[in-house]
Amino acid sequence: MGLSVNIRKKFNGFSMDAVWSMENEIAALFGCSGAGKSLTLKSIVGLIRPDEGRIASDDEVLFDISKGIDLPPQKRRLGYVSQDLALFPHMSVRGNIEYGFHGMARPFAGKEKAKNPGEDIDQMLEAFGIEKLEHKRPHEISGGQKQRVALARALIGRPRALLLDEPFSGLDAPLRADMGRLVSEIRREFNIPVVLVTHDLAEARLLAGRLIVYHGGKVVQAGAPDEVIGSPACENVARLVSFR
Amino acid sequence: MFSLRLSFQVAAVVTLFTLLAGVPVSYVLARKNFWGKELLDAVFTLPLVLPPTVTGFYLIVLLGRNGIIGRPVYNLTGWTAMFTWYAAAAASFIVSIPLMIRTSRAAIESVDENLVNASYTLGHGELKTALNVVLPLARKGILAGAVLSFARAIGEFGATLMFAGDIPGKTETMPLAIYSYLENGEWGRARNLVILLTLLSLTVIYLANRLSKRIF
Repeated sequence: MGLSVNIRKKFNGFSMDAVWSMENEIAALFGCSGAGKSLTLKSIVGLIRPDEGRIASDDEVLFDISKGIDLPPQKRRLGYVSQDLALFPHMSVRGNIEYGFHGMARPFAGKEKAKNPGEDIDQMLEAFGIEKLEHKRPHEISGGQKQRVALARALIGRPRALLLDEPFSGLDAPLRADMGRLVSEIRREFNIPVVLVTHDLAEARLLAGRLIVYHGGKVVQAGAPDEVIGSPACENVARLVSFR
Repeated sequence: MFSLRLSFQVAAVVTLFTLLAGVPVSYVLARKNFWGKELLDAVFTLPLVLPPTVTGFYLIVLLGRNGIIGRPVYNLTGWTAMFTWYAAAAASFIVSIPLMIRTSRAAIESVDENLVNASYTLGHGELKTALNVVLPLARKGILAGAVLSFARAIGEFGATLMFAGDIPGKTETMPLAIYSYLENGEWGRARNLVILLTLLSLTVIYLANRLSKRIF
């Protein structure tokens, strides 16, 4: 289980050069805004097409320019939660999760199960503590609750990996810590690699088994968090990982 | 009153067809990039600015008994749309479709791209995403476009007069009836229809504005 990324993309004077890999663990993409972290995530899920390179999840190649492979996002089976969560405002909490079920779980579930997704959705609602909200619309629930719905929706299809783009940026500190614990729990329960984009070093250090440092569109260092923080590879990394 | 009924019949049919044809066209114009896209948009907008006589002329050239499409149809079946209520509907359709396309294109373009992307990453292809996410979120604008098309079809005069003619009891819609009454000096009847049509159009515009805040 793991994820390997080796991609390059140029546009509007910005160039991204991301090379890293991870095992079945939590990896934090860390760096300033505009360093290419979100862009990497969008490339992995297939919303942006890199100019060259390769993206693979285990042995399954999702993108490989030299072989002409470029799976569309709907075929990649990756759980993706964008910064704004992108919950469908015209669907209930349950409806949002059910939409995820029909997109991904259904093609892999047995026919009987596909006909009756209720049980799976109930389980998911319960696991994320949102069963009381199932009939509410996204605009009727709190920020933390929205995060949970977005996570449940991304996970109900049993994706190969979970990719989170600063999902907790809108939350205050205590709630952030809660969500951090939730992400660790998710990784254990679902047993899939989790990629977390963050510019919060403490959060990265606490949650991640692997710290991938971005600077100016490039991956400048990757390794265990304490290793990276203890011996930064260059001045940029040193500056980024020093606690002020 | 025949003209009232015919106007509503024409407007209802036109609204249905502007929805069927307009929504897919708007979707493509809003979400696809291809060569000549803005030219296509301009062509679909043209009936909004052309004089009705020009639109009527094109309709006759295309669908008239000796028209490019009309002649083979007439030779084959002995039927022509001209001077029937179908002609009135076709004329109204052409002048109504720009309103439908402009309004719903804007509505579809304003759907949050992140929601569309979320649908894709959740495993849904383009058709399902269009039907479950894009169109439901653009529904107000689409509905407003339909309401405006309905209003425009009710009020259509020039192209209808040219293509369907003014045949009482056959192609005489409300605006045409008003014209005939005036020509015959029947002021009272004309006035009644004018008031009715004004109130009707006012209601429709009010409804359309309620449905989508910014149309013009």
